[in-house]
Amino acid sequence: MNARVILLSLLLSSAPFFSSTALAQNVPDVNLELNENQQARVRDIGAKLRCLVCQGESVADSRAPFAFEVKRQIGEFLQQNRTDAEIIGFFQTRYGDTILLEPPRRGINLVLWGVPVIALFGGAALWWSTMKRKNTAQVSAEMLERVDREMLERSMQEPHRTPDSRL
Amino acid sequence: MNLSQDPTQKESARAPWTRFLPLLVMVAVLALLAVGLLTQTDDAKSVLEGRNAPAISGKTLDGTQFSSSALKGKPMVINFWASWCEPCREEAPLFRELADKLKGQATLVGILMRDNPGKARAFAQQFGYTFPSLLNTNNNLAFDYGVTAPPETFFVDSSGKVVKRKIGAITSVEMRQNLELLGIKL
Repeated sequence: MNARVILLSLLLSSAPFFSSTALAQNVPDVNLELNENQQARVRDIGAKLRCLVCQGESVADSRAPFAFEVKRQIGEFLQQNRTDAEIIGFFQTRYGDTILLEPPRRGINLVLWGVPVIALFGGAALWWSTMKRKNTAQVSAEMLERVDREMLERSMQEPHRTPDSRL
Repeated sequence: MNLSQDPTQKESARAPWTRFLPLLVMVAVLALLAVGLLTQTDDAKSVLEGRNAPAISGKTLDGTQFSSSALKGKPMVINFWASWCEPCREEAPLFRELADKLKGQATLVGILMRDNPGKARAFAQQFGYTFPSLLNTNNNLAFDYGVTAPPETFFVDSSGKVVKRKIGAITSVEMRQNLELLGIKL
């Protein structure tokens, strides 16, 4: 029984290796001759693009076949002396804004950029008003009336006592 | 005593709904999240929809040259597939059937993705594919159509505009519905 459990665990733990190997077999092996500067630019541009088949990973960080192909395409464009903006624009026109890790600041995306700022200022305003309210003495009319009544009763109980008599 | 200064009065003067403001905000945020999650479907609209379909040309699996420019004025169904892709196997019988039914009405063309030509040929033989499938060795066609992984199917009308994209294995019902958009009834 234990041996079966161990065997099953081994198989399960090796599954990601086999699946990544299977995926890698489907990626054509293309070696592009890129200099250090171009390699750095592939990483920089790849860091601005989302790997659309991954969970929250950039093209630069991902090892998925899709990310590999995008990186290879970026490399080819760099060999053709295309600018970063042109390369990013190429992917944006084909995959839409979703491929950009940083959404452009226009249209509905402005909401995305505006919400954190609004939340920050709104939160600060809420905190300030709450603190202000807490610091304000909470004295009701009833309480004032009760205090007045008690003072009056005391002064009636001690008719000869004046504030100066304490001295 | 000035009652207008009384905090209790001030408290009661505040609209009662303000007490529920945090709850309302929370409900609104949760509703937005729910809408976002529930409306996310496999058929995310392609940026190509309503635009001219990118030209397709290249070598096919049987070694012949294919060019979509020679097929102007005819609707087109473009299927991105690969022999290693499981959902492609699921939809393969439907495409074989479609190739027979579409003859004359529209052009059916396959485009390979990250595939070995030998394995792709075996797949095409196994499922009886008679329509041309382009090799797409440098993945350019997948980039042109904004495809991330197979299978994906595009429906192009007779004016050359992309009408619909289907991500993932297509069902016969979806196929019929999308073909109707091209004016084709099976």
